[in-house]
Amino acid sequence: MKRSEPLSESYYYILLCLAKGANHGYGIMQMTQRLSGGDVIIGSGTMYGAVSNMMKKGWIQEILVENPGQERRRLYQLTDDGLAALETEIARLRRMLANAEEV
Amino acid sequence: MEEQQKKVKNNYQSTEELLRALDQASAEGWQLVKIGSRIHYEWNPSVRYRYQMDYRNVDDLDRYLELFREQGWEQVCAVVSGRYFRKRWDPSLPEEAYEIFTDPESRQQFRRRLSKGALFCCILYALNVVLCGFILLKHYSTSNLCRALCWAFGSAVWGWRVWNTRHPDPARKIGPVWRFMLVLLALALIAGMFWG
Repeated sequence: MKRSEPLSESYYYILLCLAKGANHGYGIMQMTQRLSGGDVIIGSGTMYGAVSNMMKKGWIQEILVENPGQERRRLYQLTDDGLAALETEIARLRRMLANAEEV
Repeated sequence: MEEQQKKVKNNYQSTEELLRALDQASAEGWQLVKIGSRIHYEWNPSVRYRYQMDYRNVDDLDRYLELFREQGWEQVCAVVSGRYFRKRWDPSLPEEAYEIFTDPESRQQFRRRLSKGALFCCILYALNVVLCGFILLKHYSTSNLCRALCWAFGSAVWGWRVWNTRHPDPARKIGPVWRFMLVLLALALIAGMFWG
């Protein structure tokens, strides 16, 4: 089996934040900060690069939500491939943690 | 009140140095309007901004600007593939809130994009060195030697720019004496091409 590349911290948190449902860029940024206890911050430049790359890979997709009388919102949603990438990464992290506990 | 503006020569050696100068100018009341070979400021001491710059070809400008807007960044001006952003300074925010690249991977990618133009020039100049080297082997003259050295000098200068962009260090700076010596050397080589 081909070994997949480990995800960067930003990619991992973006996928993790979308696992519970679609979210917008700012929502992802806030949730990442909350989950990591403020250790991980995803700046706009990093977010754009990561989101664009993951859209190209087919891991996330964009949904435009029209709310009458409100500004159009752009949400991001995890795809099946994105969920698979996230699960692979979680399994990798679990294995590494188990290895650390063994030693 | 009469609007006040000023223009300052843009001779900063790195993007980091330029951004520090923009932050400093904003703290003193001068706000960026546009950047070219000169930096245009307007006087507005009622606000203070922090500045950042991104350099990339954007596939979807709406999505790109929205991701910046969501975090409080506003585009000030655009140059070639670069865009300058500003965010209102808030003393209660941590320093990280003013970063747009927040992981090592995206920072490295940004520096690579930023140094692409300089790398292209460095390679182009190096190819000319090789070409001049061949000519020099066939027809040796001081003029041809100076021509080859001139391209080599140019290639080294662009190479230094690539290195400095990819591995920024605020302590690394070419002082005025060194600059003067380098300009003298370049002029001597150019003169040698014509009078050698």
